[in-house]
Amino acid sequence: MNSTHKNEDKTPPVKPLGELLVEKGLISPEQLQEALTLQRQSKNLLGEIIVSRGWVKPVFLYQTIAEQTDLAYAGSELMQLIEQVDRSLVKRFSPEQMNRFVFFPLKIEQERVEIVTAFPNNPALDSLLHEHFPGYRVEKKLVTPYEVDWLINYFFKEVILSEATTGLMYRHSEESAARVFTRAQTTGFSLGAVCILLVAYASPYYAFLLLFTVFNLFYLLNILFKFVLSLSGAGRKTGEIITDAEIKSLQTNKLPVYTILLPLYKEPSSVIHQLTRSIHHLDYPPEKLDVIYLIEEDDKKTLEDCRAESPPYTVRFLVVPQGLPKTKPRACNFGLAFARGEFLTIFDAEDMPEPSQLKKAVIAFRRHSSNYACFQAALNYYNQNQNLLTRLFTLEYSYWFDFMLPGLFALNLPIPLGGTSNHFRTAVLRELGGWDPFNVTEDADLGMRASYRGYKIGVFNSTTYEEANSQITNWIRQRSRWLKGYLQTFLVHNRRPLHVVSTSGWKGWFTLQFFIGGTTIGQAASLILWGVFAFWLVTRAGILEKYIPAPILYMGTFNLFFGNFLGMYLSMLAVFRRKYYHLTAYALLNPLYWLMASIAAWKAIYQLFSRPFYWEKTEHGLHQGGIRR
Amino acid sequence: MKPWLIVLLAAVFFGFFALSSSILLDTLVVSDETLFLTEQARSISQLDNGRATASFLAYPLLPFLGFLLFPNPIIFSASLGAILATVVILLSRQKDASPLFQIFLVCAVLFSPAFLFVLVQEPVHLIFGVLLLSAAFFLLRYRETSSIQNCFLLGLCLGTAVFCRCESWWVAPLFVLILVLFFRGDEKGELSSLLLVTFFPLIFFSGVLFFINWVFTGSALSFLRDSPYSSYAVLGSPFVLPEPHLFFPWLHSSWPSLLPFVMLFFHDRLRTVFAAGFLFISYWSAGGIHLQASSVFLVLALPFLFPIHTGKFFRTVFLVIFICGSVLSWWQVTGTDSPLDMGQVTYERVHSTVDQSKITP
Repeated sequence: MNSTHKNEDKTPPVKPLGELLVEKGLISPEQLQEALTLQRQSKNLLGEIIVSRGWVKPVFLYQTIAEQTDLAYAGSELMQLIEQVDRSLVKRFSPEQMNRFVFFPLKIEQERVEIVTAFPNNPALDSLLHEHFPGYRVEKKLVTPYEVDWLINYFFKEVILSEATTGLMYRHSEESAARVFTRAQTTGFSLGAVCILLVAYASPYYAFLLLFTVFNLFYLLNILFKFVLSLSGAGRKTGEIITDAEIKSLQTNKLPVYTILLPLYKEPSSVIHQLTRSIHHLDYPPEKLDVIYLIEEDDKKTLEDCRAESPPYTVRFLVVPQGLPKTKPRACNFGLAFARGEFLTIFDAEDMPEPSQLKKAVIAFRRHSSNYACFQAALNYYNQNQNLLTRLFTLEYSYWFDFMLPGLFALNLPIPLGGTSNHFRTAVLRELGGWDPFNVTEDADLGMRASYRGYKIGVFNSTTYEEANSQITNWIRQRSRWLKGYLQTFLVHNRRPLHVVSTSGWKGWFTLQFFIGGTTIGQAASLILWGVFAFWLVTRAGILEKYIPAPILYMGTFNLFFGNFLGMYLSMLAVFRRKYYHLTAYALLNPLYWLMASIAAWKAIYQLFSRPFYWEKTEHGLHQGGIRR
Repeated sequence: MKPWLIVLLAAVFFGFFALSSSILLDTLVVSDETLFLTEQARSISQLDNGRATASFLAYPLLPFLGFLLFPNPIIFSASLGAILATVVILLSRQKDASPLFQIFLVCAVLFSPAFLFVLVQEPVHLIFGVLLLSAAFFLLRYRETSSIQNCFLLGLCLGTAVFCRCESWWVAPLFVLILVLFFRGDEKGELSSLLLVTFFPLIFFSGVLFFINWVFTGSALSFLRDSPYSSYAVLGSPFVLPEPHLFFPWLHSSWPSLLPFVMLFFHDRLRTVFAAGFLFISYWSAGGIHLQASSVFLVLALPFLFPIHTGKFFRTVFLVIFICGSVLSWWQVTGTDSPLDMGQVTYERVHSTVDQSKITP
């Protein structure tokens, strides 16, 4: 796509591309000068620079390139081309190869292969074709990258969709939540339930004592684990610290292509507008950004709203075909098949990432070997002062991302990823099998899966601001999904405990039990334990002291007091890193917040059996007022 | 340091302190407080029902639980000494350029007569002093480094101290004063957040004590009334307190925390003099004046040793003090007219101070 294009049968181009575009009135001379300056700095293709800034539509650019190089532009006759496509030829390449080299094979006859491509000068493409068709003459026609997408989608939609939905399930069924309980787990739980029932039949007292003891023991270990994590997370080493000086010293020409997946579903137009602006404000060369909007097939309104924002021409819209389970991870897996970046990240509809986040992620990756699969940015909220719920939510998130995850990182433990702003090496993400579409916290699951396959997850000093849920029912829905997903993750990765220990050590196993399982089970159990305490306080019945042995009572009392104390205390400390001092006193109201979490936990447990794959959609755009950073 | 090495170190310390405690308890009169706590623990551990209830009514709770766990004061002292010594050794390894001298110094303090006597006679004071000093130092370090970890530990230390002695409440005004002086003018809202974080554990843990006592006895302050070693017993009713009595407990409790901040204003040589001075007084007190004072000065001396000043001046001063102080205290201890007798305490007197009706369900 520049003046140095070579074509075997044609004479070199007469005029440079830029001059042709100016002559045709598609860009101004000033724009050309600016583009050439940027090209000298970044060493990128001139055409990409121009299109990414919205100066020329891709179709006009490629038509001009066709004139410059005497290659035929085939974008206007795609429907006729489809009828000529040799399907047996197409099957010789995978969708991933076609996407990576941005080409599509059309037909093969005698010793000639005909393809369409957006990058005719790509030596890697030539090598690939030569490898498959040694000695054949390759005839290339020009199309835009979006037209290549369209062709891949047209011919491989079902394959890609099938891979996105069931790929992990078929290749690594032991890591998929498609089956909620394995046979061994069902047998084990059934046996356990039968034993408890038998004990209850023989002696209700011992059954109660057994359950009470187990709950309290688990709760106690959970508290101690989180105490140690928090202490570590409060230390100086809190993940990768990337300075502004390092960002400034980054050479633009060495920045890789970065894919951003934006899964959307029935989002308000105001949210889409905010998202478009946030992406626009990212400090990253636009020609190196591979932004993909993922929109469900039945959500035409969102597609229209996205188009109405007039995003840059480099932005792609992918329509995710209908299918079950209709979940965000399934859409993201579909988008992964079309990702072209060396690195990839996901943002949710309401996200506002810090502009420097992508560059920081690149630096973080470059500091470490390819053993690091992902870096997680911190998440926080911009509408923290909207109401009491958003304040408490902000406290919780600050504690989670500023203490807990850094604590996991400091202790070299597996890190469950957050829902967005996870930055991956694309190749590793594909090797891991992408996200599990049957897991409603696909992010947490992916983090654990990566760790148990020997990869590392890091955290770094960048924040994405989101919208905190400001309505109680909406919050409970969202929280129940998260807790259900944690249960799914807990069940999936407990299928192979020896594998977990062998890859991550006992620390990794403990993290799975107490950080993943403990979150949901602890919150569900706290409702029961509070209920027992409330019963005793109101009735002052001596039954507890009479029948429960002293050590168990000690443990229960310790859990009650120290557990709640620790939760509130850590919540107070959460404000210090971000200097949200006005929120400190609200930490005292955390018991009310935890009561809601307990309700959500029981809803999660119920849904695990009744609707395990159901995705509770969170309503966005409920916030009002200004944005606080 | 590898975990097994740490365990081994702790075991060695345990063995040493067990031996020294055993010898000292045979030659010394047991302090009132230790005797009271061991008696209370022994009585309660013999109960069948209501043991859990009774345990929570005991005060000071933290040392009492120690005596409940280890009814033998030798085991309790040895365990406490092992924990303290191991932690101090581990911390001392991290900082200095001459770790050997650092370790020698720490060992010299930990194995000195003063520390051994305090460990056996006044473990409650030792725990209390360490907790308060630790709180003060974490506050100092937070000021220097803004590390949240220090903030986290500051409140925990201060709050845990309430389980040792209720004089920890008297320390609160001092900490308020220090916080206001040191953090005034910083980020808006930081001071109020810091106050909340610093005192929340103290208030919460006190509330737990009050609540449990109210539940079981109908009176939130009953734990103070029944313990002869509490401010309540000393001061009488909290509602009728002569003013001078307010000042002395406050001063007595506050100055272990005040000293770390005072030392900020002194440069190295004077800090060295302070360290040496406190060590000397501590050693002398162990053999001479008063064991409680010995414990206070010993604990005060410890933080002056971090970071260690390894100049010739300090080494000379320290060695002189160590030798003179050790000789003096051992001479005092082994003398025929040993003033170590803190007052004969008979079983009858201690037994009568414990109201048996309060520890039955």
